[in-house]
Amino acid sequence: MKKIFSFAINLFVVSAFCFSIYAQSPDRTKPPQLPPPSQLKLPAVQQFQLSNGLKVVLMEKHDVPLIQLNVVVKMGSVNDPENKVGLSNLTMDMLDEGAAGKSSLELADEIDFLGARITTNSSAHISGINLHTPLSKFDDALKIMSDIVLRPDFPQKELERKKKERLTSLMQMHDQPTAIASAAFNQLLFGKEHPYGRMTNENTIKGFAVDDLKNFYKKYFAANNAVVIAVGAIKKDDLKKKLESAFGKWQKGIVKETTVREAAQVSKRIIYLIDKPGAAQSVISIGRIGAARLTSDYNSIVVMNTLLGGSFTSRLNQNLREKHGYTYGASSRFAFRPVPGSFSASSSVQTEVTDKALIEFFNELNGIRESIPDEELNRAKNLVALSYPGNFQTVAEIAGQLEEFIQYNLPEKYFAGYVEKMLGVTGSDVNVAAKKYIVPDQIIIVVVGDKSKIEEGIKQLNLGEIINLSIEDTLGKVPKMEN
Amino acid sequence: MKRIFVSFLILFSFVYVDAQTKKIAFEQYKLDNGLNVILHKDNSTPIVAVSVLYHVGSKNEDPERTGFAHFFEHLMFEGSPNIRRGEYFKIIEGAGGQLNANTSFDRTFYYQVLPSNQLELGLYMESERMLHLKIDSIGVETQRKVVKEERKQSLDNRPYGTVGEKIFSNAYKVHPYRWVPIGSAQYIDQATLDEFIAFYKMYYVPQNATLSIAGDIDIAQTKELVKKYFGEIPKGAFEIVRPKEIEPAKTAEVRDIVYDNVQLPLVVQGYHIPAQGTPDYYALNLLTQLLSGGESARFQKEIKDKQQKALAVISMPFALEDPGLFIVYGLANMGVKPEDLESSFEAEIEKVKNELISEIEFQKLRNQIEGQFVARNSTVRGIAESLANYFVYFGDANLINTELQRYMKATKEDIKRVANKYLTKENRVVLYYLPKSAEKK
Repeated sequence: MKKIFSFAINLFVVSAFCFSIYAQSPDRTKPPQLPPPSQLKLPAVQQFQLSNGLKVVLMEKHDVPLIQLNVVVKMGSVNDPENKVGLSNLTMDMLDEGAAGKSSLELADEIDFLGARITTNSSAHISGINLHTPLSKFDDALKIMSDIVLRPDFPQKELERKKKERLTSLMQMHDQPTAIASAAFNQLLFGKEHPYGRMTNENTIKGFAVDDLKNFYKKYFAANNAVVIAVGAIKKDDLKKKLESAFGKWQKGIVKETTVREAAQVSKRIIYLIDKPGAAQSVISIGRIGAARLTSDYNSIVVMNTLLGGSFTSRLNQNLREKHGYTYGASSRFAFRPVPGSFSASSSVQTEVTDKALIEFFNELNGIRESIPDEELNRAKNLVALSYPGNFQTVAEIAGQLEEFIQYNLPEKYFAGYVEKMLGVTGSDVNVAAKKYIVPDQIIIVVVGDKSKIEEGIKQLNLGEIINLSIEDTLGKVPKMEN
Repeated sequence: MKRIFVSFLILFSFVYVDAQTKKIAFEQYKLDNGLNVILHKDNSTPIVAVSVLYHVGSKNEDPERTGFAHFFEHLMFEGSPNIRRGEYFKIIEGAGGQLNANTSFDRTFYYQVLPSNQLELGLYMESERMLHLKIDSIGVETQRKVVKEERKQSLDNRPYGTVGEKIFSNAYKVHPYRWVPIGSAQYIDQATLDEFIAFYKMYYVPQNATLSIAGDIDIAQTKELVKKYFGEIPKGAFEIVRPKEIEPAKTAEVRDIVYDNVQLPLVVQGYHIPAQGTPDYYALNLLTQLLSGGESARFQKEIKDKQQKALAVISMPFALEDPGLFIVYGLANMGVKPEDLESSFEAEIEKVKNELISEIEFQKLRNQIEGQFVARNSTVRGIAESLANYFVYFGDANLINTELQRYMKATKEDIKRVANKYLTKENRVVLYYLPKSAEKK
């Protein structure tokens, strides 16, 4: 780590001298050597509470007349009741479909008239209502936002429409090979009952009632179960006053901390083959249980995965795309969550070379467990560390970074220390992480493709037991709609 | 679901540009070899975008070599006498940079976003491939396969993936917009090394390129570096060929049906419209805002919410250098016939043709467009690209600051007028995507 820096400083001195004596023709035989990068200087993260205890996190950014305001609620699909999978997502989706007596279309009219944007989102553990507005329209937009967050009506008519849309989307998934692969992968890895693996279905969607949404909302929308994240051209005192009038009356509640059980690790290698007759490509997803966000291995894993499949020059992409031309791209990722999420390596490959592509996948999954050449390690570290400032350009991006900061209660100096921490990852750290998390013998392989063309080749590989599945095994029957 | 539509947009809307209220200051000049240079300084984040726009896209292709410009884009990463094959990405990622490129009907755009200390590296890398790109047969063979898989992943293995290709091939009979940038795999196989070299010598020359740099830079130092790396690149020797074909005015509606691996019908209409930047183009943009800009827009309100005939309905004028298309498309809800959905489009379009919109609705459109201007150009890469686009297409990079006024010139009457002028039956193509099961009946 230190060595890199002193090396870089020497270069800085050299290139500083060169600067004033440019030759007419540059030395093109090698890339120019350059001084060390400038530090990312972010405005301070300011934290305060409203009178009702609602937490606010603010980063002032005065160069653009915009405000991003995210209300984050600690609730997500892990909180869906067992027989109501999809309820958290539907509840969030319905928030802006009627509030404070105003209809869905009236709300949309008001927001659009301001030239602002309010969207809702939900994920496994947190959900949110996000406002993006010109500074000049902030006051008016905040009033609408407050109605949507605090006074949603959940109108029956809109619920029926949303249910219909959801059934239609579910129906469409049957034609989307990548969506099928991803749903199957999570189900097979975590189990159909686990919060990270389960999926909604036709009957559940049809069964959702207004009271389900209202009760769910009441249970989780409490001032002490939410955080407001603000980024933009506004001073703390001004924001505090405005938020006090918008959210100061939000009541506290009793919300139990959510715990998710850790899924069992994969114990052997199994191939799941999902037939999609006539598919133009085979979609491959290979993986196992990964790691929790707050694991002490986090930095090592990030660098290791960048090397394996997290960048264009990663081994998977270089091998499957640039060396063999099997695919437009191959990648891998860790889904970091409060308890371990998935590790997955995936690609859409030419049908005829599905088996060959699998061989190359496993070559790389095995290879990453060997020691890593310095040149490659440094490239991955530099990419992770030095591209980091690029994540802080827009107000929405910064708010996203702050969400993670709050969700995982990261240390105050987290952003400032990120670059140095990542540059400090060593080859042995990466090697330890690879051996611990990438275990090619204990892994599931999901392939969605034309079985008649690929099954024989896959069998020949002797990777392990092959289980044949249909699309319906994953998604259920194609939903029927009464009109 | 949404993803399908987003990717449809990405496939074609490379040139969705806007401006903002924060003024973007820039310097612009030309090197002796004809290279256009635009520099914008913003020191708020220690990163810099180095981009090169080559004014060549799929419309410059030989009809027997469709997909050539996009394929060539892949070859531009192959290296130079000083950068070995496979090293291009490695050098930039190793410096903490990110890079990519894309090809549209009208232009090919390359960009790198680097830590700002690596500005010189970015200039070195871009100048290397402008000065002396090196292509070998291994690279060509590999990229042939990669591009075929790109086509399958983006079009063939994705429901409705071929919609762009079908609408443009039906709408254009003469103009080279009749094929899309991804082109045909068959022609990529036929192209020879000599053809690649000829294409490079014609189009990848300084006078056909715009180097646009935005971010944490010092202007004077950057100018010196630009001169150092790009000054010695010779001007191209050939006169650049641009398409001259003019698509004749349409006199009869064109209809087609595509049977695909889909569950729900998709209805697509494409109306011929004038090129981007013309006064009517701006009025058409307000029209599209009226029809489908946001949840309170007319299509959303009527067809999606009230009638519940569609899962999604979108209209968009395709911003193209030559006369383009105003596209309307909707994904039918389960059990809704495509004819029903189409007649709902018709009814909304008829309403705009017959009734002047209200003052309050008009004001909403203007506010929305203004809001978009405030929010645009918040990334250095976006600014670099917008500056280059405005300069190349309109000869005025300062439109990044002033284009809003052009939108604001369009009146309520203009919206009604352009609806009547362009959204007519004889001026359009209509396409239905239907489930394969419907074909047998």
